[in-house]
Parts: sequence; C-alpha cells; structure tokens
Amino acid sequence: MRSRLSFVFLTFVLLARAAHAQPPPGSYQFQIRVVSLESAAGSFQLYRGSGPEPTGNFIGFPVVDPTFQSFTTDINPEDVSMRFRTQTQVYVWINNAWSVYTPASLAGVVVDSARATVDGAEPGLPGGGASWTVYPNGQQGFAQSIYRAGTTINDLAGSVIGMNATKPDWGYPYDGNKISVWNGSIDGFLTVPRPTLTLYLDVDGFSPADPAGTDDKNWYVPGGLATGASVLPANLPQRIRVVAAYVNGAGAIVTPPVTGNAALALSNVSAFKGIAMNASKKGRSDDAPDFAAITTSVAFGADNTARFDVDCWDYGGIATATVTHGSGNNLSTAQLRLPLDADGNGLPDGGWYAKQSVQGTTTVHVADGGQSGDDTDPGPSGSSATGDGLTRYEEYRGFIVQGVHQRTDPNVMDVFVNLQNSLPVGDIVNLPFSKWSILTAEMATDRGINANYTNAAGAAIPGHFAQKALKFVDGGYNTNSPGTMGLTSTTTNNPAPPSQVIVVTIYTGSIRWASPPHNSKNTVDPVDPTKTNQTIAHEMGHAVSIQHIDVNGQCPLVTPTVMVTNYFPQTTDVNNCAWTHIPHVYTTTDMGWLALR
Amino acid sequence: MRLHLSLAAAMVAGVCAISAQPFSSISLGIGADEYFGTVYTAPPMDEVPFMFYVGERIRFRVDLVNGGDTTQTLALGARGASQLFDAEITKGDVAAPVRLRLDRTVEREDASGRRPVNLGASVTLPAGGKLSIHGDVESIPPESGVYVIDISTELADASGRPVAPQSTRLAFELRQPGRDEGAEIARRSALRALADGNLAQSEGFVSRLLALNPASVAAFTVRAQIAEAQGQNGEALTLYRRALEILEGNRDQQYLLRIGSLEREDQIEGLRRVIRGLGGH
Repeated sequence: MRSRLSFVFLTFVLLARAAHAQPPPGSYQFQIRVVSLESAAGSFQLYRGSGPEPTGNFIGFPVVDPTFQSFTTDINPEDVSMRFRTQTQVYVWINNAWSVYTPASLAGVVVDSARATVDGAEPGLPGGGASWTVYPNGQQGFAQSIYRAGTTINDLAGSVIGMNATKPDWGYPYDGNKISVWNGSIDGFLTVPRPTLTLYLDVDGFSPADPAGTDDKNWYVPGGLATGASVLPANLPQRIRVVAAYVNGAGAIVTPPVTGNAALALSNVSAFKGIAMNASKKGRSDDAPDFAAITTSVAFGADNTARFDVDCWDYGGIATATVTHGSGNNLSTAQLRLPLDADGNGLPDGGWYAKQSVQGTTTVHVADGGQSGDDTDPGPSGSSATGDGLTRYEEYRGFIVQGVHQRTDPNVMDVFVNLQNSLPVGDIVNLPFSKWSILTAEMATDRGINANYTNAAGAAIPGHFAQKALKFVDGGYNTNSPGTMGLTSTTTNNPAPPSQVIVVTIYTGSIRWASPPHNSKNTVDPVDPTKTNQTIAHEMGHAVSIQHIDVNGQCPLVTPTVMVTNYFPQTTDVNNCAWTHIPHVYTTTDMGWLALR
Repeated sequence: MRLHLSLAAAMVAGVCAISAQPFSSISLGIGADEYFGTVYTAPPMDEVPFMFYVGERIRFRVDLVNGGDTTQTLALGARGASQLFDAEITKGDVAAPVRLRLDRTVEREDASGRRPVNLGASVTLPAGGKLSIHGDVESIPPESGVYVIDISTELADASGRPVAPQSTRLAFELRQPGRDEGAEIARRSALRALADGNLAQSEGFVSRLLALNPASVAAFTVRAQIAEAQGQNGEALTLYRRALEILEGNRDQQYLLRIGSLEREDQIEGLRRVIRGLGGH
C-alpha cells in the first residue's frame, strides 16, 4: 500500500491562454508547474504508466523522458535525489480562472510568498522511516520548500525543484518498499503594484509604445545629441521634453490612475557662467539658470503621457525635474536629474563623446568615472607632469572652438592656441596631445580658457585651475634682436606652462631675413613656410615648459627635434645642411620637460 | 562708447542658416604693426602683449585672410575700406574716447606679391591670400592703463558664412614714462627711426642710449643695423660682436634686470646667426 508522504498533489484546472499583459494592480495566487525531469541520482525504476513496471536499476536519468509518470526505487538502503525543471510561464488566478503570463509581463510584481512542493509517495513505515528534503530550500522532514523573501518571478520560472531522500532498508516486500515521485510545482501569492509615475527624457522623439527604447536620459548630456555632437551655440537653447507617464512593473505605459494635470518644477538648477568654459550667450545673462521650464502644467494626452518643454542653456548645466500628479493618497511624484548622476560624482552617468586632436581630429567616448575636480591627464611620456589645467568636469562641459561646441577627453592633455596675423598651426600638430585653435572671442581678455567656472546658483566647479590659451603673434622683422626668429615671453622668463606665458611671437620677417637664398626680410623664399612651421612648434615647446636642445651647429641632427638652438645660420646657400634638414617633431626628451599646469 | 567705423551695418544679403561649420575660411584679425618689445623697462602690465608710451606712435593692421585650401569670394557690397569692420575701444571695460585713423589704401597680398587694391562689390582671395588695412591709434587720452581694441565685421563669403573672428582683439598698455626710462625711450626711438629709414636720427638716439647705458646691448645692436643699412658690413660685424660679448659677459646690467634666461638664449643665438651671416665666426 502506498501511503502519501505529505507531498501535496494539487489538481488544477489550467486554462491555457496566450500570454497576457500585466494583470491589474492587486494580489493574486500563482503557480509554476514542472515541465520535465531534469535529473535523478540513485537507483530507480521508471514507471511508464499502465502495464507492468520495468525492472532494473537506473543510475540517473540521462535524458528527460516525456512518457514517464513516476519513478521508484526499492534498493535498500538508498540515497536518492530527483530534480524537475519548471515551466517558464506563470499561471495566475484571475477571475476564477488560471491565466498564463510570461515572467517579462510580470516584471516588477512582488512575490509575497512561494513554496515548492513535490508529489510522491513512500511505503507506510514502522519506526526508522526515510528522511527527505524538498529542493532547493526545504528542511529535513518538511514537505515544502519555502522561498526566501525577495525572490522574484524570474528566480522561480524555469528553475529547478526536486527532492533528496534516504531510504533505509525496511525489509518490506517489493510493493511496499518504494519511494516514488511523480510531480511538483511552485505555488504562492504575488502582488501587482500600482503603476509608478515615471519620467522620461525626449531629445529626439519619444514613443509611448517603446518608452525604454526611446528614452534619452541615459545618454543625454546638456546640449548634446544622440550622435554625440552638440547643438551649435547659435542654436541654444536646446529644447528638450520631460515626459511623465504611469508605468506598470513591466515597463509599459498605462492609463493614469487619477485625472488632472501634472505639474513640473525644476530645482537645484545650476547657473554656471556662460554656456561653456570659454563662451557666453550673446544677449543672455552669464549667470542665468542653465535650465528653464517652458511648460509647468500639462494634462495627460491620449497616449497617457504628459510632456513638459524644458530649455537647456548650458553644455554643463544641472537640474532636477520633479513632476507631481494627483493628490492625497493618490499623489504621485517622480524626479529626473539632468543629466543622470546616480553615483554622485558630478559627471554624467552615460559619459560623453569627446574630441581629440592628437593626430587629426577623432571622437572618443569617455566613460563616467573619477571625480569632477580631477585633473589627471597623463603626459605623453612617463616623466611628463600630469594634468592639463582642466578638470574632468571642465573637459566634460567643454569649449567653443571655431564656433562649434566640443567636449574634450580628460585622459588626453589639451592645449588651446589663438593664432594671430594668419599664422599657421605649423608643426604644433606633432605635439602628442590635443591642440585647439580658437578665436579671440573664445578666450577671456586675460586669455583664460576656462574662466567660466563660477556658479551663481551654487558651488563653483571644483578643482578649478586658471588655465590660459596661448596667443601667437607675428612680430614681423625683429629689429630689437636681429636673427631671433621667435620669442616666448613668460612671467618666469623661462620656459613655462601656458598659464605663465604672456605671448608667443613669431618673427616671420626675421625668418625671411635668415633664409636662403635671398636673406631678405621682405622676400618670401620657398623654405620660409617650412621654417615658420618649425619656429612655431619651437616656441610652442617653450610655452609648454620644454627647454632648448643646443646642438652647437651640428648638422644633420642625430635626434631631430624642433627644439634645436644654434642650428640655423643666416645663409644664401639653398643646400645648407640645416635649412635642408628642418626638424618637425618633438623627442621623448622634449616630452620629459612638458608641463601644462 | 562704440566706434562705428562701418556706415552700413546691414546684413549681407543671402545669409542663410548656419551650417555645421559656422564660419567662412576667411578670418578677421588685428595686430600691432610696429612694436619693439620691452628691454629697459618693465614688461606690459596684466600680461598684455604690448606696451606703448604716452605719445608713442601706435600702428595696427587689420587683415582679412583666407586660411582655407580653396579660393573664396568675400562679399563687400558697397563697403569702402573704412566700412569693413567695426571697432570698440575700452579701458578697464569702459568705452574709451579713442579714435582710429585708417590708411587710405587697402593692400592685397597673395602668391604674386603685395599691392594696393581697389575694393569692388566683392573680392576673391586665393588660399593664403589676404587684404590688409593699416592704421594708427589717434587721440588716445594720456591715461595709463590697458586699452583693448575689439574689432568685428558683418562680412560674409559668397556662401553666406560669416567671416571668422580669428584674432579680433588688440590689447596694449599705455604707460606714462618714468624718470628712469630714458634708456628704453631712446632704444625705441632709435629702432623706430631705423625702421623709417632715418639712419642719422637713429644714430642720435643710439648715442643718447649709450650715454645712459654704455654697455647697452640694444645700442650696439641698433648701431650694427645702421651700419648694415649703410653697407658697412665689416663695421656691422664688429658691432654685433661687441653686442654679443656684452650679452655673453652679462655686462648689460639694465638688460639683465628685465630679460630672462630664455630670451637671453634666443638673443645670443640670434646674434651668432647674424655674425655668421656676415661672414664672422
């Protein structure tokens, strides 16, 4: 005779239906059934339903056998275990019927309680009976496995349940000497929460049918576009929209639970000076708020969203948008920080796209990390000083370069130059970090490149260092010091970082005077542009702290460097060694002196 | 006070929406046209690049340069030379009653050289070509301080892209000369006279400078240039060597007061270059 071990066998009338959207808010009973035998360990006999039971020992079940009805063992004594795989669908008892749901459609629901049970039997026993536990969380002797609080539907659907048992030698005849199992399930109760008021960001279009997929808040940086580029300064403010909607646990937008307008308020709005580190917006106060709400009260539309227009005026602006809806017990509130900064380091969680101009101009993605006040750009050689005088936040907020906004890479040094009198960039391009040629209006009157670091509405940008652009002017012919083709004036009277450089003068007339074949300050020789490029790079070197390399007339150079001195004679000989071997590059020795702050 | 040198401030017809590249490859710039540095006086205050004494001539030059790789056409409309740009002069962020006087001619410079040009409704600038307008700062009040000339233009190229304001600020200190700045004034005067081709006058200022500072590197350098201009290369070589000896021997104490090691190195190299160029060693 078979006696029931307290394995519960529940017979459900399961109405198989297509998967549903999430059930309405409320509490429900649910069940997840086993679907197949996962494994078994021990010596078993498989019972296939009607007919005589097969004999023989089964050391584990290598594959799931869909015909099985039960399996038994009568080996004495025996340790056995068996595992069932559960279905990946969930039955929920709604309106007196079981409805089928996928775990995805039940996302966000709370599992209030859950237990695993295994249906089976063992012989009725005198003393010294079997011991068993139900997998995965059961206690010995208990027929159920209780899941811990915090278990989710995803943890349960498709999981494995089962039983471990030790059967002693009872000495009974065959039929009364078996452990059998044949079924199992996970049962419990879940709660579908009320929909949550949720805020999305719309920069370039928003679809209520795909709110997560069209939400822009994860990548948004002020003034930024999905491409990684920025809107032009002339096109500020950037109009964006905060989208409010009620969302169920599955992430779907649902009908608002109450009627009435939703209200938007902006708080913690920064007012960083200007629009970027080096630029202002003509006609707007430098200290005005960086975000402004254009609409503050909006009704939910037919698509169940309430959309608020917000203007962004600063490429590094900060604000918190708060939307409220309903009242009393039905009051809902949601907040959205612009841009996202969950880790509180002051930098956008999604990072930003930055420009580099080390070798040509490239775009890289800078991941969120570090602190906003960090200035740790590595130097191009191990012995270079680190940092470029621009903090991580300043590089993220970015600069206006030739009328276009761009953020820079805090992992690559940046230096800014203002070239006057149509001077070319020259061999500066060979400096192994980013170089930017800016307009006069893109630096402060004291040549400050990051002067807009204050915040009229709060704390200034941390870690600020007053970095400056380098101004290059063409001094023509150097009557004060004939033969001197370039001069870097610094406050230290020595090679110095940009903040200590007053002006860099390139004497193109003196270059013409020295160059072959004409030696005329008014006649352009073919070699002059090449020599001018080298001279610009040479003086640039002094303006980033690089010293001379005195070669005492040696030519050709063993290690070419633009930083040579005592190299170029005044000569009419177009085949002169120095003038036919004009260096264009910097050396690692040069880079060892490099310092930008 | 904003000085409107432009009589017609109307936008150029055909200016269209700003593209991703907001500016023309033609750029606007202003710079000092004549400057002799600071040697026997303190460098300019507030780290501005230039210092002029009250009463000293202040020349400037405004350039419109095509820095691109292709020929560009600059739409001028009916503008004359004095209407190509606006200027705003300030002292300490306050408008200053300063007048600018522009030369009558506009120079055009390209691969074929530099020459005066008559402005039409438009002008074509090849890559690297430029228009230059020279002028003087006039009627500047004798008040020391930093003056800033900011220029702007509403000119655009044929595509409607505005001229890039590349280097539109000329900042300089205006200084009342002190009692001990005679050497600097003499040095500048000598160089200015030399630049103007007035060699005798330049020699006079050199003598005054030497009277004030017998070991003046600058005096021997200017005197050497006078000799060169007179074709006396041997004499010039001797004078350059004398200047180099003084410099290398650190005998010009007034010079050493103001000049750092970097500029001294550059000037020594420059003098050596000149000496070698004249056949010396």
